[in-house]
Amino acid sequence: MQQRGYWGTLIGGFLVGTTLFIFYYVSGAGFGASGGFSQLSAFIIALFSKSYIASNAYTAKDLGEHGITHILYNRIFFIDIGIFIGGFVSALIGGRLRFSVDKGQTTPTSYRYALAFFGGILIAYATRYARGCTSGQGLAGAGAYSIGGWLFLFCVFAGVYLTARLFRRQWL
Amino acid sequence: MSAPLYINGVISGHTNMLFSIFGGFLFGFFLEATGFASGKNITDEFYFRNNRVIQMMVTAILTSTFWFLVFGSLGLIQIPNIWTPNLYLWPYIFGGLLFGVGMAMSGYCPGTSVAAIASGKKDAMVFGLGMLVGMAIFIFGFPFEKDFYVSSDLGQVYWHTLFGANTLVSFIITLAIGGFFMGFMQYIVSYVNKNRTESKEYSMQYLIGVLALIFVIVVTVLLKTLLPAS
Repeated sequence: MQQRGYWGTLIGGFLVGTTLFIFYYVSGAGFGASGGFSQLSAFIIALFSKSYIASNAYTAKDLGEHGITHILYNRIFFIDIGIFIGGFVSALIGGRLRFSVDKGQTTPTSYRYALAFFGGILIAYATRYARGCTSGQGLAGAGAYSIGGWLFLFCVFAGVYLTARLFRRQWL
Repeated sequence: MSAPLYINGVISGHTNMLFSIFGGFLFGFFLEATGFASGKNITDEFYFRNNRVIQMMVTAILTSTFWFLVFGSLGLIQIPNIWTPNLYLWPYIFGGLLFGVGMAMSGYCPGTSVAAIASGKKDAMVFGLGMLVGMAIFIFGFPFEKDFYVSSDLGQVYWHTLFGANTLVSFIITLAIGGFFMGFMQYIVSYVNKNRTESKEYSMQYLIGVLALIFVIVVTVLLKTLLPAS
Protein backbone atom coordinates (compact mmCIF):
# COMPACT_ATOMS: atom_id res chain seq x y z
CA MET A 1 0.00 0.00 0.00
CA GLN A 2 2.66 2.44 1.18
CA GLN A 3 5.04 1.53 -1.63
CA ARG A 4 2.58 1.50 -4.54
CA GLY A 5 3.78 3.53 -7.47
CA TYR A 6 7.40 3.63 -6.39
CA TRP A 7 10.17 2.30 -8.57
CA GLY A 8 12.05 -0.78 -7.42
CA THR A 9 15.23 -0.20 -5.44
CA LEU A 10 17.43 -2.16 -7.83
CA ILE A 11 16.53 -0.01 -10.82
CA GLY A 12 16.60 3.13 -8.63
CA GLY A 13 19.99 2.18 -7.22
CA PHE A 14 21.33 1.41 -10.68
CA LEU A 15 20.19 4.81 -11.98
CA VAL A 16 21.53 6.71 -8.95
CA GLY A 17 24.86 4.86 -9.21
CA THR A 18 25.07 5.64 -12.92
CA THR A 19 24.25 9.30 -12.21
CA LEU A 20 27.01 9.29 -9.61
CA PHE A 21 29.50 7.93 -12.13
CA ILE A 22 28.44 10.56 -14.69
CA PHE A 23 29.24 13.18 -12.04
CA TYR A 24 32.73 11.76 -11.69
CA TYR A 25 33.10 11.52 -15.45
CA VAL A 26 32.07 15.12 -16.09
CA SER A 27 32.98 17.05 -12.92
CA GLY A 28 35.63 14.76 -11.50
CA ALA A 29 33.79 14.79 -8.18
CA GLY A 30 30.66 13.09 -6.92
CA PHE A 31 27.27 14.56 -6.09
CA GLY A 32 26.48 16.02 -2.68
CA ALA A 33 23.81 17.95 -0.84
CA SER A 34 24.90 19.25 2.55
CA GLY A 35 27.34 21.81 1.14
CA GLY A 36 24.44 23.72 -0.41
CA PHE A 37 22.86 24.24 3.02
CA SER A 38 26.21 25.45 4.35
CA GLN A 39 26.55 27.98 1.52
CA LEU A 40 22.95 29.14 1.93
CA SER A 41 23.46 29.59 5.66
CA ALA A 42 26.66 31.58 5.07
CA PHE A 43 24.80 33.66 2.46
CA ILE A 44 22.02 34.50 4.92
CA ILE A 45 24.57 35.51 7.56
CA ALA A 46 26.35 37.64 4.93
CA LEU A 47 23.10 39.50 4.23
CA PHE A 48 23.36 40.80 7.80
CA SER A 49 27.12 41.11 8.07
CA LYS A 50 29.40 40.65 5.10
CA SER A 51 32.40 41.57 7.21
CA TYR A 52 31.75 38.66 9.57
CA ILE A 53 31.75 36.15 6.70
CA ALA A 54 34.92 37.75 5.36
CA SER A 55 36.64 37.43 8.73
CA ASN A 56 35.54 33.86 9.47
CA ALA A 57 38.25 31.39 8.44
CA TYR A 58 35.65 28.83 7.31
CA THR A 59 33.62 31.11 5.04
CA ALA A 60 36.14 33.75 3.90
CA LYS A 61 37.15 31.70 0.84
CA ASP A 62 33.55 31.75 -0.48
CA LEU A 63 33.50 35.51 -1.00
CA GLY A 64 34.52 36.27 -4.55
CA GLU A 65 34.88 39.48 -6.46
CA HIS A 66 31.15 39.59 -7.20
CA GLY A 67 30.17 40.10 -3.58
CA ILE A 68 28.05 37.86 -1.42
CA THR A 69 26.11 36.19 -4.25
CA HIS A 70 29.39 34.46 -5.06
CA ILE A 71 28.77 32.37 -1.94
CA LEU A 72 25.95 30.65 -3.82
CA TYR A 73 28.02 30.12 -6.97
CA ASN A 74 28.85 26.70 -5.63
CA ARG A 75 28.72 23.30 -7.30
CA ILE A 76 26.84 21.59 -4.47
CA PHE A 77 24.32 24.43 -4.19
CA PHE A 78 23.59 24.00 -7.90
CA ILE A 79 23.18 20.26 -7.39
CA ASP A 80 20.66 21.02 -4.63
CA ILE A 81 18.71 23.20 -7.05
CA GLY A 82 18.72 20.25 -9.44
CA ILE A 83 17.56 17.83 -6.72
CA PHE A 84 14.74 20.23 -5.88
CA ILE A 85 13.53 20.44 -9.47
CA GLY A 86 13.96 16.69 -9.99
CA GLY A 87 12.09 15.85 -6.80
CA PHE A 88 9.32 18.26 -7.78
CA VAL A 89 8.90 16.84 -11.27
CA SER A 90 8.93 13.24 -10.05
CA ALA A 91 6.37 14.01 -7.32
CA LEU A 92 4.22 15.79 -9.90
CA ILE A 93 4.33 12.86 -12.30
CA GLY A 94 3.73 10.37 -9.50
CA GLY A 95 0.75 12.31 -8.12
CA ARG A 96 2.50 12.77 -4.77
CA LEU A 97 2.77 16.55 -4.88
CA ARG A 98 0.88 17.87 -1.84
CA PHE A 99 1.58 19.61 1.45
CA SER A 100 1.74 16.93 4.10
CA VAL A 101 3.61 15.88 7.23
CA ASP A 102 5.35 12.53 7.40
CA LYS A 103 4.53 11.02 10.78
CA GLY A 104 2.56 8.32 12.55
CA GLN A 105 -1.21 8.67 12.74
CA THR A 106 -1.36 9.52 16.42
CA THR A 107 1.87 11.54 16.57
CA PRO A 108 1.42 15.22 17.47
CA THR A 109 2.66 17.37 14.59
CA SER A 110 4.66 19.59 16.95
CA TYR A 111 6.55 16.56 18.27
CA ARG A 112 7.45 15.52 14.73
CA TYR A 113 8.54 19.06 13.86
CA ALA A 114 10.71 19.28 16.98
CA LEU A 115 12.54 16.05 16.11
CA ALA A 116 12.94 17.09 12.48
CA PHE A 117 14.31 20.48 13.52
CA PHE A 118 16.81 19.24 16.10
CA GLY A 119 17.80 16.32 13.90
CA GLY A 120 18.49 18.87 11.16
CA ILE A 121 20.77 20.84 13.46
CA LEU A 122 22.72 17.72 14.46
CA ILE A 123 23.03 16.52 10.87
CA ALA A 124 24.20 19.89 9.55
CA TYR A 125 26.81 20.19 12.28
CA ALA A 126 27.96 16.60 11.71
CA THR A 127 28.34 17.00 7.94
CA ARG A 128 30.94 19.73 8.39
CA TYR A 129 33.24 17.36 10.29
CA ALA A 130 32.52 14.46 7.96
CA ARG A 131 33.03 16.65 4.85
CA GLY A 132 29.69 15.60 3.46
CA CYS A 133 26.50 13.69 4.04
CA THR A 134 25.18 10.28 3.03
CA SER A 135 25.24 11.49 -0.59
CA GLY A 136 28.46 13.51 -0.81
CA GLN A 137 30.53 11.43 1.57
CA GLY A 138 28.77 8.07 1.88
CA LEU A 139 27.58 7.21 -1.63
CA ALA A 140 30.03 9.39 -3.54
CA GLY A 141 32.95 8.18 -1.41
CA ALA A 142 32.13 4.48 -1.32
CA GLY A 143 31.12 4.67 -5.01
CA ALA A 144 34.64 5.82 -5.88
CA TYR A 145 36.57 3.26 -3.78
CA SER A 146 37.20 5.79 -1.00
CA ILE A 147 37.64 4.23 2.44
CA GLY A 148 36.35 7.37 4.14
CA GLY A 149 32.96 6.86 2.51
CA TRP A 150 32.53 3.41 4.05
CA LEU A 151 33.92 4.54 7.39
CA PHE A 152 31.39 7.37 7.46
CA LEU A 153 28.49 5.15 6.37
CA PHE A 154 29.07 2.58 9.09
CA CYS A 155 29.44 5.33 11.71
CA VAL A 156 26.05 6.60 10.53
CA PHE A 157 24.51 3.12 10.78
CA ALA A 158 25.94 2.73 14.29
CA GLY A 159 24.47 6.10 15.30
CA VAL A 160 21.11 5.34 13.67
CA TYR A 161 20.56 1.81 14.98
CA LEU A 162 21.78 2.49 18.52
CA THR A 163 19.41 5.45 18.97
CA ALA A 164 16.45 4.66 16.64
CA ARG A 165 14.56 3.14 19.56
CA LEU A 166 14.36 6.56 21.27
CA PHE A 167 12.59 8.16 18.31
CA ARG A 168 10.34 5.29 17.31
CA ARG A 169 7.20 6.86 18.76
CA GLN A 170 6.95 9.53 16.05
CA TRP A 171 6.13 6.89 13.41
CA LEU A 172 3.49 4.94 15.35
CA MET B 1 41.75 10.17 -22.51
CA SER B 2 39.95 13.26 -21.39
CA ALA B 3 37.70 12.37 -18.46
CA PRO B 4 37.15 13.68 -15.82
CA LEU B 5 36.13 16.45 -18.18
CA TYR B 6 36.15 19.45 -15.85
CA ILE B 7 39.35 18.59 -14.00
CA ASN B 8 41.16 17.90 -17.28
CA GLY B 9 40.04 21.26 -18.65
CA VAL B 10 37.72 19.91 -21.36
CA ILE B 11 34.72 21.88 -20.08
CA SER B 12 34.61 25.24 -18.33
CA GLY B 13 33.59 26.01 -14.76
CA HIS B 14 30.30 27.51 -15.91
CA THR B 15 29.47 24.42 -17.97
CA ASN B 16 30.29 22.31 -14.94
CA MET B 17 27.79 24.31 -12.89
CA LEU B 18 25.10 23.82 -15.53
CA PHE B 19 25.85 20.12 -15.60
CA SER B 20 25.54 20.07 -11.78
CA ILE B 21 21.95 21.27 -12.01
CA PHE B 22 21.20 18.60 -14.61
CA GLY B 23 22.92 15.85 -12.62
CA GLY B 24 21.15 17.00 -9.47
CA PHE B 25 17.86 16.84 -11.37
CA LEU B 26 18.46 13.18 -12.18
CA PHE B 27 19.47 12.41 -8.60
CA GLY B 28 16.43 14.18 -7.13
CA PHE B 29 14.10 12.58 -9.64
CA PHE B 30 15.37 9.06 -8.90
CA LEU B 31 15.26 9.64 -5.14
CA GLU B 32 11.64 10.78 -5.24
CA ALA B 33 10.58 8.12 -7.74
CA THR B 34 12.01 5.38 -5.51
CA GLY B 35 10.13 6.77 -2.51
CA PHE B 36 12.95 8.35 -0.53
CA ALA B 37 11.48 11.84 -0.42
CA SER B 38 9.70 10.62 2.69
CA GLY B 39 11.04 10.33 6.21
CA LYS B 40 8.55 7.54 6.89
CA ASN B 41 9.84 5.44 4.00
CA ILE B 42 13.45 6.07 4.99
CA THR B 43 12.98 5.16 8.64
CA ASP B 44 11.12 1.97 7.69
CA GLU B 45 14.64 0.62 7.28
CA PHE B 46 15.60 1.39 10.89
CA TYR B 47 12.58 -0.49 12.27
CA PHE B 48 12.92 -3.42 9.87
CA ARG B 49 9.70 -2.75 7.94
CA ASN B 50 11.69 -3.38 4.75
CA ASN B 51 15.25 -3.24 3.42
CA ARG B 52 14.78 -0.68 0.66
CA VAL B 53 17.22 2.00 1.81
CA ILE B 54 20.14 -0.41 2.06
CA GLN B 55 19.23 -2.13 -1.23
CA MET B 56 19.21 1.24 -2.95
CA MET B 57 22.46 2.45 -1.39
CA VAL B 58 24.42 -0.74 -2.00
CA THR B 59 23.14 -1.05 -5.59
CA ALA B 60 24.14 2.56 -6.28
CA ILE B 61 27.62 2.07 -4.81
CA LEU B 62 28.18 -1.19 -6.71
CA THR B 63 26.92 0.35 -9.97
CA SER B 64 29.19 3.37 -9.69
CA THR B 65 32.27 1.32 -8.78
CA PHE B 66 31.46 -1.08 -11.62
CA TRP B 67 31.45 1.81 -14.13
CA PHE B 68 34.76 2.97 -12.67
CA LEU B 69 36.19 -0.48 -13.24
CA VAL B 70 34.92 -0.65 -16.85
CA PHE B 71 35.74 2.90 -17.92
CA GLY B 72 39.03 2.86 -16.03
CA SER B 73 40.24 -0.35 -17.67
CA LEU B 74 39.21 0.97 -21.12
CA GLY B 75 41.30 4.08 -20.41
CA LEU B 76 38.24 6.32 -20.70
CA ILE B 77 38.62 7.96 -17.28
CA GLN B 78 41.72 8.81 -15.30
CA ILE B 79 40.81 7.53 -11.85
CA PRO B 80 43.77 9.20 -10.07
CA ASN B 81 42.43 12.55 -11.27
CA ILE B 82 39.06 12.32 -9.54
CA TRP B 83 38.46 14.21 -6.32
CA THR B 84 37.15 12.78 -3.09
CA PRO B 85 37.53 14.53 0.26
CA ASN B 86 40.57 13.82 2.41
CA LEU B 87 39.99 11.30 5.17
CA TYR B 88 40.04 13.08 8.54
CA LEU B 89 39.82 10.03 10.78
CA TRP B 90 38.47 11.29 14.12
CA PRO B 91 36.32 14.09 12.69
CA TYR B 92 34.74 11.51 10.33
CA ILE B 93 33.94 9.13 13.17
CA PHE B 94 32.55 11.93 15.33
CA GLY B 95 30.58 13.38 12.42
CA GLY B 96 29.27 9.99 11.29
CA LEU B 97 27.95 8.99 14.72
CA LEU B 98 26.34 12.39 15.29
CA PHE B 99 24.85 12.27 11.79
CA GLY B 100 23.34 8.87 12.61
CA VAL B 101 21.63 10.22 15.73
CA GLY B 102 20.29 13.16 13.73
CA MET B 103 19.01 10.83 11.03
CA ALA B 104 17.22 8.59 13.54
CA MET B 105 15.61 11.73 15.00
CA SER B 106 14.62 13.44 11.78
CA GLY B 107 14.26 10.61 9.27
CA TYR B 108 15.99 12.63 6.57
CA CYS B 109 19.45 13.19 5.24
CA PRO B 110 20.33 16.40 3.38
CA GLY B 111 19.82 15.06 -0.17
CA THR B 112 16.51 13.34 0.48
CA SER B 113 15.27 16.36 2.43
CA VAL B 114 15.66 18.62 -0.62
CA ALA B 115 13.58 16.23 -2.74
CA ALA B 116 11.08 15.94 0.14
CA ILE B 117 10.78 19.74 0.45
CA ALA B 118 10.10 19.87 -3.29
CA SER B 119 7.29 17.32 -2.95
CA GLY B 120 5.62 19.34 -0.19
CA LYS B 121 6.69 17.57 3.01
CA LYS B 122 6.34 20.15 5.75
CA ASP B 123 8.47 18.18 8.20
CA ALA B 124 11.28 18.25 5.63
CA MET B 125 10.95 22.04 5.46
CA VAL B 126 11.36 22.21 9.23
CA PHE B 127 14.34 19.87 8.87
CA GLY B 128 15.83 22.25 6.27
CA LEU B 129 15.47 25.16 8.69
CA GLY B 130 17.24 23.08 11.32
CA MET B 131 20.03 22.41 8.80
CA LEU B 132 20.50 26.13 8.20
CA VAL B 133 20.68 26.74 11.95
CA GLY B 134 23.14 23.87 12.40
CA MET B 135 25.37 25.24 9.65
CA ALA B 136 25.28 28.69 11.26
CA ILE B 137 26.27 27.16 14.61
CA PHE B 138 29.24 25.50 12.92
CA ILE B 139 30.28 28.72 11.16
CA PHE B 140 30.03 30.84 14.32
CA GLY B 141 31.85 28.21 16.34
CA PHE B 142 34.60 27.65 13.76
CA PRO B 143 37.38 29.44 15.70
CA PHE B 144 36.89 26.92 18.53
CA GLU B 145 36.35 23.90 16.27
CA LYS B 146 39.16 24.46 13.82
CA ASP B 147 41.82 22.36 15.57
CA PHE B 148 39.67 19.23 15.72
CA TYR B 149 38.20 19.95 12.27
CA VAL B 150 41.57 19.58 10.53
CA SER B 151 42.99 16.90 12.83
CA SER B 152 44.12 13.38 11.80
CA ASP B 153 44.26 14.17 8.07
CA LEU B 154 45.15 10.95 6.21
CA GLY B 155 44.82 12.42 2.72
CA GLN B 156 42.76 10.74 -0.02
CA VAL B 157 42.71 7.07 0.88
CA TYR B 158 41.26 4.40 -1.42
CA TRP B 159 41.22 0.64 -0.91
CA HIS B 160 43.69 0.17 -3.74
CA THR B 161 46.08 2.82 -2.45
CA LEU B 162 45.91 1.40 1.07
CA PHE B 163 46.81 -2.09 -0.13
CA GLY B 164 49.08 -0.95 -2.97
CA ALA B 165 46.84 -2.80 -5.45
CA ASN B 166 44.75 -1.91 -8.51
CA THR B 167 41.11 -0.86 -8.75
CA LEU B 168 39.95 -4.44 -9.36
CA VAL B 169 40.92 -5.19 -5.76
CA SER B 170 38.97 -2.12 -4.66
CA PHE B 171 35.94 -3.32 -6.58
CA ILE B 172 36.13 -6.79 -5.04
CA ILE B 173 36.37 -5.29 -1.55
CA THR B 174 33.39 -3.01 -2.30
CA LEU B 175 31.43 -5.99 -3.63
CA ALA B 176 32.29 -8.02 -0.54
CA ILE B 177 31.33 -5.34 2.01
CA GLY B 178 28.24 -4.17 0.11
CA GLY B 179 27.03 -7.66 -0.80
CA PHE B 180 27.53 -9.02 2.69
CA PHE B 181 25.87 -6.02 4.32
CA MET B 182 22.85 -6.06 2.01
CA GLY B 183 22.39 -9.81 2.40
CA PHE B 184 22.81 -9.61 6.17
CA MET B 185 20.20 -6.84 6.45
CA GLN B 186 17.87 -8.80 4.16
CA TYR B 187 18.12 -11.72 6.57
CA ILE B 188 17.61 -9.54 9.69
CA VAL B 189 14.52 -7.88 8.18
CA SER B 190 12.88 -11.22 7.40
CA TYR B 191 13.94 -12.58 10.80
CA VAL B 192 12.35 -9.67 12.70
CA ASN B 193 9.16 -9.86 10.65
CA LYS B 194 8.63 -13.49 11.59
CA ASN B 195 6.75 -13.12 14.88
CA ARG B 196 7.68 -9.49 15.34
CA THR B 197 8.06 -8.37 18.94
CA GLU B 198 9.44 -5.10 20.27
CA SER B 199 12.26 -6.77 22.17
CA LYS B 200 13.29 -8.65 19.02
CA GLU B 201 13.35 -5.37 17.11
CA TYR B 202 15.44 -3.63 19.78
CA SER B 203 17.95 -6.44 20.14
CA MET B 204 18.49 -6.51 16.36
CA GLN B 205 19.00 -2.74 16.35
CA TYR B 206 21.68 -3.10 19.01
CA LEU B 207 23.26 -5.99 17.14
CA ILE B 208 23.55 -3.97 13.93
CA GLY B 209 24.80 -0.90 15.82
CA VAL B 210 27.51 -2.93 17.55
CA LEU B 211 28.55 -4.71 14.32
CA ALA B 212 28.80 -1.35 12.56
CA LEU B 213 31.03 -0.09 15.38
CA ILE B 214 33.21 -3.18 15.03
CA PHE B 215 33.57 -2.45 11.30
CA VAL B 216 34.60 1.12 12.16
CA ILE B 217 37.19 -0.12 14.67
CA VAL B 218 38.62 -2.64 12.18
CA VAL B 219 38.96 0.02 9.47
CA THR B 220 40.53 2.44 11.96
CA VAL B 221 43.10 -0.17 13.00
CA LEU B 222 43.80 -1.00 9.32
CA LEU B 223 44.35 2.67 8.52
CA LYS B 224 46.54 3.17 11.59
CA THR B 225 48.71 0.13 10.78
CA LEU B 226 49.00 0.41 7.01
CA LEU B 227 49.32 4.15 6.57
CA PRO B 228 52.63 5.70 7.53
CA ALA B 229 52.51 8.50 10.14
CA SER B 230 49.08 9.98 10.64
